Amino acid sequence: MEAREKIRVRIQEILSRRGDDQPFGDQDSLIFSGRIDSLNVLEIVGFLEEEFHLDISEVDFDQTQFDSLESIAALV
Amino acid sequence: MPEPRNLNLALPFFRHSIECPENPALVLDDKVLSYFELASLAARIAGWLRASAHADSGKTRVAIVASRSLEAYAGILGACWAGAAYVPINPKLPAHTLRQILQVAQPRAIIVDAAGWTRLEESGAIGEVPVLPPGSLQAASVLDGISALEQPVPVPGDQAAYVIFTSGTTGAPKGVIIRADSVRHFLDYGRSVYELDCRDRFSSFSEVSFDFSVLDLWLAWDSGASLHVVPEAQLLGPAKFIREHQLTFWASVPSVIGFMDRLKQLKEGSFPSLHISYFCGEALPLAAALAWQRAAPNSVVDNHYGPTESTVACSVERLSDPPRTTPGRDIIPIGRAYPGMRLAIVDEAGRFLPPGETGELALSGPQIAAGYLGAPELTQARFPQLEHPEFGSSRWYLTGDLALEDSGGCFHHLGRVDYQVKILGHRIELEEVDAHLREVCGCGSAAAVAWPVHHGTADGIVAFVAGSSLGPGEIMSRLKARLAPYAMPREIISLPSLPLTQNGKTDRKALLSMLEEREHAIES
Repeated sequence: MEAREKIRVRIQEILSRRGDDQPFGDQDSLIFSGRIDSLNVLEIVGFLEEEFHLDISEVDFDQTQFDSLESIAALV
Repeated sequence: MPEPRNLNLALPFFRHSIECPENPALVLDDKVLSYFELASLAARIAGWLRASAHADSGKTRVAIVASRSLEAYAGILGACWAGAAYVPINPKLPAHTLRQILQVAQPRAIIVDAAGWTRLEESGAIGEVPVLPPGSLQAASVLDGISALEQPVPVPGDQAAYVIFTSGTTGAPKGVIIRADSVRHFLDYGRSVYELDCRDRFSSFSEVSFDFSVLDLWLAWDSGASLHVVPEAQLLGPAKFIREHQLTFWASVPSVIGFMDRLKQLKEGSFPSLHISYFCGEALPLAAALAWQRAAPNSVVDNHYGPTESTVACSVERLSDPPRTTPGRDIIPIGRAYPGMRLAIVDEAGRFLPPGETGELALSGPQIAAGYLGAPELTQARFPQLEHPEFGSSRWYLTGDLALEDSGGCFHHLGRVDYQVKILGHRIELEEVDAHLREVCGCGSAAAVAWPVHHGTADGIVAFVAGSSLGPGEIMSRLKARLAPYAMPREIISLPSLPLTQNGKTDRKALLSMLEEREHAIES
């Protein structure tokens, strides 16, 4: 599976746990729209570290980087 | 008779704007506003409040529905300048809650930013009182032609400085009234402990609707220092912001340390510019305090304690070497009362307990709130007159916090006597979440628990419902219209029925055990 698809599945899982079954586009806002919260962001960080060996200390962290599937996929 | 002291919060700002007009007062996104520029804006806002709302005399309130915007900061300064009490409201609150707050607050005028305007429209409150619309602070606006109020109007000590709303158990928010002399006492203490001047650079991390902002906003402006607003996108990991702005004073809830640690932002010596680190709003775990100290080696690390009802904070413990901790909880103690304030432990009958005994923490002194707006009975219940064996009869605030005083006179926080939890420093009454859950589900059985909890601080809320025909998605979307984002459950679990205690109440402990068992099942 392509990285973007793996991340999509993970985000879908998080949204579903939050009772949110609405579809989301690659560029749709996740954080600033209130669909995911700060703990979900950390969960996604953990996922990227584990799955794609992302070194978060090298990332100039800004929540806008985690706001959409597209921007998250750009990190890996 | 000497004239009473003018305790208008905007007065020190006004003086700085004359003595050092060019100094930066507010740094917001890419903009830097000097004391002169911000004072001019505040004077015009105050002029507008006088002209269109007659809100330039004591006992009037001005609501500010704004967040991290020029309208938020200039609006607060302008309301104070006019001598009104300000009521800061988070535009992220649901329209339902905003309407409830406005009904209690009865503001004479409302100042909004773009987000606040949208929310105000949704709440249907526009048209009831004059509103200063977003964009008014730029040229060609309703402020044109308004004559500015030259200087802050006199405010006596017993007048309200602000009203801040917090969660109430019944689902209706309660407004804590803080007097001008209470804020002055709090700020004078801050000025006496920290050597501050116009070279200091303060973080503005909290929303202005959260009383933590009273500390950074007014202590910075009292000192002639600059206030640097942390952008929303960097709230989780503000390391770069601290370095770029060369902050000297950091103030936030301790949760941020955990987030930054998780993002690997707390490298040794990362923040050499920091001299003062001020944590408040929830328990400060020892590990977090030590991690912060390593990252900010030139800074003191202070753990302040206080509910909104005590004007931000009223006791403090400084991280020492070796550090003092609260036994069994691995958190920094809440320490000792500020000079002039008193902490004591009482039992259920309001009798004072000796050191070593656990009871409810009670607070007394000049920083104690005047009460809850429009709620005299609740005020009387929470702010009783108590007879202290040593200090005699005085007014105390019962915090609902469990605590004890050790033999050395240091106070330790041990949890809550009720179902209040803290998430990112926000007070949330679980019973309030229950009440909304029951209403949206149309069922009698619903309960919220804080989960997971580390060091007495909750990460989030999980809700349980029984007998509702609605799915979790539907319940969530209906709750969103009623609860603040931080009070929203992160998960909804449907059960055939909720476990009950012997007294027939919902057994929250049993619900927590279910969540613990589930977690262990996932781990194994």
